[in-house]
Amino acid sequence: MIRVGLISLAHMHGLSYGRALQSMSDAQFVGIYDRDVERRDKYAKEFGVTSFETLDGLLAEVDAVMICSENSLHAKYTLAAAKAGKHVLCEKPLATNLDDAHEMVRVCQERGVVLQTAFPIRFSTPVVRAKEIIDSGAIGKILAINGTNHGKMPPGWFLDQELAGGGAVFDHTVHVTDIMRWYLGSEVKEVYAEVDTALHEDVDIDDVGMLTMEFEDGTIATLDPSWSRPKTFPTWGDVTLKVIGTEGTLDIDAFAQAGEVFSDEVGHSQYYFWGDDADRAMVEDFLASIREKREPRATGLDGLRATEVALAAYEAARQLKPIKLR
Amino acid sequence: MIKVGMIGAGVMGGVHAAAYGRLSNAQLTTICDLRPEKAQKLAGPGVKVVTDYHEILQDPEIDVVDVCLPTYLHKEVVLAAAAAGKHVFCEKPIALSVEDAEVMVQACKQAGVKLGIGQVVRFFPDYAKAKDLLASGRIGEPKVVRTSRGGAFPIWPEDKWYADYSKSGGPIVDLIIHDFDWLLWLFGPVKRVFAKSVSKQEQVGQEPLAHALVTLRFENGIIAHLEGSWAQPQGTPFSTSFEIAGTKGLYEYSKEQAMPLVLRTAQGEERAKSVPESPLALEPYTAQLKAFMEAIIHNSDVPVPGQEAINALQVALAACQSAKTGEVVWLGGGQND
Repeated sequence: MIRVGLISLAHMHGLSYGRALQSMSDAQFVGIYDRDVERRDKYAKEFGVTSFETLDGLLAEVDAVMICSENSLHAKYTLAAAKAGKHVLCEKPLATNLDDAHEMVRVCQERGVVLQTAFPIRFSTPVVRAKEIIDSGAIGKILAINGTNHGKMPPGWFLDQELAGGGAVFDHTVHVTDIMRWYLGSEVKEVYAEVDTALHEDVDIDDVGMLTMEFEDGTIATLDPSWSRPKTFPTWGDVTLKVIGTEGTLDIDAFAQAGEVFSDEVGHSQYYFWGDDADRAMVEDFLASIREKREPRATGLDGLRATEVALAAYEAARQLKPIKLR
Repeated sequence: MIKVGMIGAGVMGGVHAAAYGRLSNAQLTTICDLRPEKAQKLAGPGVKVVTDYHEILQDPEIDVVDVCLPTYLHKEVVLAAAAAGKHVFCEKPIALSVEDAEVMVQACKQAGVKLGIGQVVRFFPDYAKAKDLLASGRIGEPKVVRTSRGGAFPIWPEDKWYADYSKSGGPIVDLIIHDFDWLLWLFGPVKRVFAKSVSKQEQVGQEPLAHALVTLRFENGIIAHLEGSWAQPQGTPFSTSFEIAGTKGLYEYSKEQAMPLVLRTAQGEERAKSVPESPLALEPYTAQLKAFMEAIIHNSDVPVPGQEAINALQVALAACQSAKTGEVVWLGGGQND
């Protein structure tokens, strides 16, 4: 039985990870630590787990932690957990700067604990099936990928540069960049981006962006991470990749497994997703990698590489020229 | 009744010939192609077929020359038509270089003839009416735009001229030009361009393919992403889509998902085939030619004048340059503007 704690619910994905954990027979959801005491008590009560007053209190009672704090606190919590010998599943983006990310990867390796970056899209059944199709050679060698990870504008600390590390480009570059790296087995060589605060008033963080990447294997790719879905959009956003190969093409829409609901109570149409639960599969992989003493499907280094691309996108937008990464 | 001589009986020639059949303000009287059998196929009763386009230019009955030739042949024929005092309708893209296009525009101006360019997307109501939606304010100020257009590599011409970019300009100049033109019409001038493109050279027994991804930043701050594909497997239906995200909402459109008719039939051993159709009272190519003819009849401005076609070509060539050099290409005032 692996005992798991949740550090912070600043990122609401923590709820989903917590629920996944509670549905598993080989893991125990021990409790929650959150610097927001009200939130900590509320969700500890809801989950029926211990509300820890201190981080050390939680770390003393668990084998592993899931960190869903504000982005800028990922490093602090990860390092504390690793130094206490606890395995870590850390929400993406891994860190708000590369120094933190490198330190997180290094210390976890040194302490022999798992560091998994929360990239649930790697566990989306259609996205995994797409990798099988690509690996089978059905579309030949990949030449180009046109990706999107649209979203609605999130609330609260996501709009605070200090806590979030960046806006839409930071929040939504990492998932699809990670999938591109995973499919290609190649690293991003160069990044260009247009970045702006354009769609929302009273916001001083970027809400739109358009990235162009070139991979070391020559593949070209673009990615739209904009928070360009209005409040009335039928779902939270999207994850799509159009993959162009030498022998064929593959269109991927990770959340297409849905019906459409028209409810007078809601006032606008909504997609009703009925596909597999990728968050659950990701938490399962976290537990399995601890048990089997193996690397998780998306490692800390994967998180670092994706973060590197997002940060380079900002640099490209500042300099208005492509930035070479390697 | 305006009399038209059409030069070029390829795919676009076929589309135009069919459009003339529906027009009441113009009549197609002559078709020219080096391959008379191609022209003959398109020629209805009473339509003359010639193999030397000078015959069209010398025919005093003909008012308009309709140029449906491969892009690299536009300049020569447009200049000759202008010199012969004929109004000119020329398929898109206007030319392969801004210099050539400017010479064409200038020649028509000096000859006092009208020049219209076939940027037909302005006559596709799915694209044209987006302007009205924007004007209504329902989605607020437009800020981020995505367009996609493509299908299989155009391998149908016998001489494979599309595969020779010195003749076609490739997918950025030949295909994405439609979206460049539409976006310029909606949003005004472009400030800078960044683009990547890939292509697979033709190998024995293999089809060529090409794919391009372009990012535009407009003077007014709008960011646009444009995808142009000649990389789908042969037989893939041509598809287009776009979305415009604004400060108050989003407009999403996909041609594939907007088909009011889908005909399914199976014959003999064949499996069922689906044929989608989107009928309009006035299909876009007919609407385009009708509007051009009206501009001649009323001596008014043509729908897409040469200069506007040049503006779109300029953006397309900037995208080609960016894809080639890997650098950001600045238009107009440049980076220090």
